[in-house]
Amino acid sequence: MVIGRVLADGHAAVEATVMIIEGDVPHPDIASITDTSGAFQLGGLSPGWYNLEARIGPRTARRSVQLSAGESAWVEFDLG
Amino acid sequence: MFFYIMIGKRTVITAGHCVYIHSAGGWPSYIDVAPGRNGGLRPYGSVRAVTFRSVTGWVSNSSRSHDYGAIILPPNTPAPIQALGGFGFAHWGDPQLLNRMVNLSGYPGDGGKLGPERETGSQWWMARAIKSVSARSFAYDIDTVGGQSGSPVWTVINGQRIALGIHTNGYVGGNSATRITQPVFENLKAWRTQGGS
Repeated sequence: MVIGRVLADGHAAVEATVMIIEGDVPHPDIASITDTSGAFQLGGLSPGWYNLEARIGPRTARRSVQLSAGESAWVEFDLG
Repeated sequence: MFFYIMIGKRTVITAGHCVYIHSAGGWPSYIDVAPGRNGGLRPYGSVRAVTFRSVTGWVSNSSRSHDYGAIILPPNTPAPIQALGGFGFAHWGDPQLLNRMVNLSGYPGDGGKLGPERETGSQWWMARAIKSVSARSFAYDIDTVGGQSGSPVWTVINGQRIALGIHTNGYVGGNSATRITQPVFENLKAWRTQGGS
């Protein structure tokens, strides 16, 4: 599972969209909406490399993450 | 945020992982369905659904081969939504599917394109040929990103849209759909009946 947080203007970004742009293993084509603390999770993922994007309005940021077997990965986005 | 396919007055089909999310406790409390959403506009309004369907292969076994499900809209679903009509659906053999040009339309989480029109909740469409077929899925190079799971993958026969698969997976080697096989077809028929076809 990939879990993390999205920040904007130094604060939690509420209702930001976090999605998988691409991955080197087959994955569910899912997106997540951040909660009131800016947190999100993307579950059901196999170990592999993923390119993620967070966005709220016109502000976007991308991060790559390597997910290992049996582990969760933490990703933080700062939309400035 | 997911997409879905209306196949009856109150039945929408989608990916199994849209209605039963193993990493988030299973069935959701509710799903708000807004047909034809266009950014902030909901031309047919929306309806809150609390009844969902999937199959054991997905719910108990997380099997990609069984990644499909349905949302049954409530009886008080607004008439404009019930009057929208729906996709037909069919199960085809391998030779019929391979190289068949198919369409996919959904709501990419990134808004679809860079530019001033980019807005979450905007619907985008693309068509490409099916490039490979397996027993319970088929793959294509139609561009998708997260948020498009549950989109219909369809062809057009005599002017009618016929769903052949349910988009579920992304992958740099080819995106893919759960194939509508005979067992899937029979479940979809039953769920359509439950939604008052």
